[in-house]
This record gives sequence, C-alpha cells and structure tokens, in this order.
Amino acid sequence: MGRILVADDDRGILEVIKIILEENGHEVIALDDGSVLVDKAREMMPDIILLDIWMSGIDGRQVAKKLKSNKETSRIPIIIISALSDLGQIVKESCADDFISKPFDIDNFTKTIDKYLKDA
Amino acid sequence: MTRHKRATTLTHSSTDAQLESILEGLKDHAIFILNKDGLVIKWNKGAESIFGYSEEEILGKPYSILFPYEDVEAGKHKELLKKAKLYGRVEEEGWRRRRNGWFFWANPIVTALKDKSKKPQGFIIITRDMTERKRMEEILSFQKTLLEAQSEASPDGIMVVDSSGKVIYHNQRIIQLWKITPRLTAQRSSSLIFKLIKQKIVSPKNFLNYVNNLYNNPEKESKEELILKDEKTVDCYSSAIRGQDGIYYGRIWFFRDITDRKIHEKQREILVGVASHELKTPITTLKAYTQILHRRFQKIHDDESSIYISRMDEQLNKLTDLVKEMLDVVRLRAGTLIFHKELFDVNEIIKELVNDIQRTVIKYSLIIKGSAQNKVWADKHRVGQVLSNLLSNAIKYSPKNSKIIIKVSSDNKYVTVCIQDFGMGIPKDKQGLVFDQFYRISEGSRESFPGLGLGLYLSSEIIKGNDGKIWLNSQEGKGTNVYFSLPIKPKIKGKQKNG
Repeated sequence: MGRILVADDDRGILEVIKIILEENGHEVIALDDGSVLVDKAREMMPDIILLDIWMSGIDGRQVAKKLKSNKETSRIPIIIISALSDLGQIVKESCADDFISKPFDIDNFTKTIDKYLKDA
Repeated sequence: MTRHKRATTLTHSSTDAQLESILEGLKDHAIFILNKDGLVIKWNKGAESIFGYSEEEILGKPYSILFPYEDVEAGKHKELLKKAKLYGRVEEEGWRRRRNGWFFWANPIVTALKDKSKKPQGFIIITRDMTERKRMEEILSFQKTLLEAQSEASPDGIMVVDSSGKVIYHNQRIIQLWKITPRLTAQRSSSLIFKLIKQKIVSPKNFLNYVNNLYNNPEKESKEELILKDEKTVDCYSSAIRGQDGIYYGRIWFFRDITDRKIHEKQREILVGVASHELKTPITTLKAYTQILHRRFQKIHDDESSIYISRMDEQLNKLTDLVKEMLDVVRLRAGTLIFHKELFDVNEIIKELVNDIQRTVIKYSLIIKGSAQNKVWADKHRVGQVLSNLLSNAIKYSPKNSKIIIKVSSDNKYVTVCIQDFGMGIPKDKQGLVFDQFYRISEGSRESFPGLGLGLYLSSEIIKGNDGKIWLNSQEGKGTNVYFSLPIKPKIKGKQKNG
C-alpha cells in the first residue's frame, strides 16, 4: 500500500478521493493549498502525487515542473487530475507522468494509481 | 393657306422624291417639317403612328400641340426652334404629348432649313419613341445606385478585378481597411494591392500562394482568415465572376475585419471553458460518491438499490458528455480545437471501446468485422470520441434491434470504419442535414431522444479536421451505415496546390 499526496482546492473532491484511497488501504495526505505542495512533498516523500492542475492562484504545471526538477522529488510519479480537456498535452507540458480526467470512474482511477505504485 | 403652300414648295425643292419615300417608310421614326412659324407642313407615317395624329389632322397646326402643356407654358417649344435657328441643328430629350393625351419620351433632332441666301425657311424634326429605353435606363441607373449603396453600406471591403488584373470597382471600405493611398487607388492594379496586403499580414508567403492558386484556378471559391501583424483578423473571400454566357470576367474579393468577432469567440471559449470546468467539479464528487455507494450496495447484495445507483451514474455520464460537447463546439467555432495527431492503431481503440460499451449495454451485441492493415494519422483521443459518439448513436436510434456491426477496412491511403445499425434509419430528405449543428434525427417525429444534437456535427468536424471523410447511407425503418475514413499518412503540405 502506498502513501499518496493529493492536492486539490475543491474540498468535496479532496474528501471523496481520500475515502476511495483509504478504502483501498492507502495512506492519504490531503492538501487544499497548492502553494505548500513542494515543501510538503519534500517533507513527506509520498509514493505518488495526485495534482489538480487548476487550483486557485497556482499554476499546477509550474508546480509539477518544480517537483520534477528538484533532486529529492523528481522520481515521485505525478498524476494530473483535472476537469480540463487536452490533459495529454498538459501532461507533456508539465513533465508529469499521467493524468486522470474529472469526472472519473473509480475502477479506472484505482487502476492508474496501482500502476504507479507497482512501478515504484 | 398661301403660307402653307409656299412651305410645301420649299420642301419639294430641298428634298428629292426618293429620299422622301425612304423617310415616309421609316415607321419607327417620326419625321415632320415645320415652316418657319412652327406650323406642321409635312408629316410622315412614323409621325402618325408615334403621335397618333393623321397627316390631315395635323397639317397647318402649330407643333406646340405635341408638347405637354407645362412645357408650352414654359416656352420650351419656342426655345428649341430658336436654338436650331442659331446652331443649325439641335438635339434634346424630353416628354411629348400624343393625340390621346399620353406622354412618351422623345429624342428629337431639329435641323433648321435654309434657303439659298441662308435665310431660315423652316425646320425638319426627326424623333423616336424612347420611353422604353428611358425606362430601362432608369431601372439600370436605379440598380446601379442600389448596388453602389449596398456595397458602400457593406461591412466588407469589396474589390472587383477583371481578367487582366485591373481593379474595375472597389468600395470605400476596402480603402479604409487596407489603408490604400489615393495614388495606389488611382493605379487600379490588383497586384499592387495584394502586395500591400502581403506586407500587413503575418504569413505573407501563404497569402501569395493563395492568391496565385486562385488566379490559376478561376473556378475556385475560397475563404481564408488572414492574421495581420497588428493582431487584427480579416476574413478574405473570393469568387469568380462569370457572365450568363459563361465567359470569365474576373474575380470579386471581399475582405471583412472580424477581429471583434474573434475576440468575442475567444472570450466565449474562455467562459465556456471555465463553466465546463466548474460544472465538472461537482459532477466528479457526485459520481465518486455514487460509485462508492454502488459498491456498498453490491457488497450487501441490495440489488435494487444497486440498480438505482447505477442509473444515477449513467445520468451523470450523460451530463458529463453534454458539458464536454458544449465546450468542444465552442472551441470548434473559435478555431481553438487543436488536433494532436499521431500514428495509432484504430483496431485497438475500437476493441477497447466496444468492450467498454458492451459492458454497459448487455441487451445489444456489438460485432467487429475486419481490421485495419495500417495505422492512421490522426488525434487518437478525438477519434475515440467520434467512435464512441457513433456507437452510442447506433444504440440510441435502434431501440428495437440489438445488433450493431463495426466494419473496418483499409487500402493504401485510408482506413475506413463503418458503424452499421438496424434501427429506425434516417428519412432521405433529412440525410443531408444530420451533420449540421443542432440537428436531431428525432426532429419532427414524436419520439424524442436526449442530447444537444451536437454529436454528429462534432464527429464530422473532428474527422474533417483530421483530413478524413465522413458520410452515411440510410434507409428508413431498416437502419443506418455511418462511415468515416482517416488517412494513413500525414497530408503533404502544398500538395493541394499542384493537384
């Protein structure tokens, strides 16, 4: 089971993702403030980061790039989770590893998470 | 009477008999002679038919009876003869009065007749009924004024270029739009104007190719958006001008500044983008809880609740699709729906999609026949969207028949996919409309189907945007085949120009 850092400024979504992941036995660190994400990631060293790309006041793309360019955090898989379209393109631009579109199917959601946990 | 006789003698002495008989025979020309006092002394058959007076009636009468009363009062008849006396010959156009009181438009030529000592002896007047011509001229002039007014009031800059490249007409708007100097305007050269336009746009090379291409293929109609260096957008439309006989006269060019529209489209896109994002956020939470509940009900074997919950989930999926469609259409219109093309295997995404859909619609059987021998060059995600849309249409519109066939084939240029259903079909007169925006097959029938009617429009635009083709054949009551084909290689740029 893994330790997953989830960053989303919508508390409703944050809560339901937490329920899903915890039901699957994962440890969840939920963040509704993207500005502290890099520090939190360094501190907690999660197995996966689930990142909403469009949080208020924060460009998720830049955050992802920062994480990927930082020695300590560069190996943590980043999965973009967003209601924007063209996520494939956003993943490329932000050097992230994968994406989950909102709204998602729980099956597909957990499949994607499991894939990166296995790889780690 | 003696005066009359003297004038007649004069005529005989100055015209010869042969000429007289020719003049007499000219039925559409009124030819008559006045003595120096303005009394009619000679009247031909043409005059009789045009004015309505017989020779007997009119001989000896003052020619002022041929004028409208107001003109007589104004002395116009006298003035005409005075001028003829002065200049020898005078032409004019004006209204004349027939015997029955009706007026006609005449173009008389009045020639003064003089004796050997050059003393005026009388006048010969030749005229025709020009009413019809005048009417036509008036209509033409009105039409010309109307056209000019229209073209001046038009938001388009308009330029008409003849087959040699000379500008034969332009309105003021085009001068303002491209800031054409009076000197350049006076040169009337379309190539100089295109040169000026070229300097103002972002990709000038494409523009010249575009113009040359049109001149080499006069049949072509064309529409192009020109992006200007000053960030304006101008819509450029051109079409050949042909006469009724098919002769090529040149081209007409329309330029319209659509900068404001573009800005509005962009703003609308941003707005709908934000709206769609914000709508999807609560849907995400709703959908997640729905699925959590579904699992819990399944765990405790509460099948009824479980079914209800999966119905909720279906509706949430529909809601999501609507939100996505809405955004896609706005993006299509704003020109910001970008296709990320790559080589991929259509067989794979068909299999995946059919498996996914099959799981949710147990009642239907989806059968894949054939396969593509080549990969296609297109936007994988968008092609998946088209397939998913066509399959859900096939299901939606065949409520009574459960078979759906997906045929895949390929040749050395294209991969073609056909989705065949055995449902209600599309009436012949509606088949051309289904790829239009907001059209729904159920329109006009009592059955109603959910959706915005954007699916086929979007699919068609996506396929076209990926250099493919989409078409269908359908028989009412028997079912529909929707086809699309996609290229196996990227389109070579510039090929269109040679071909």
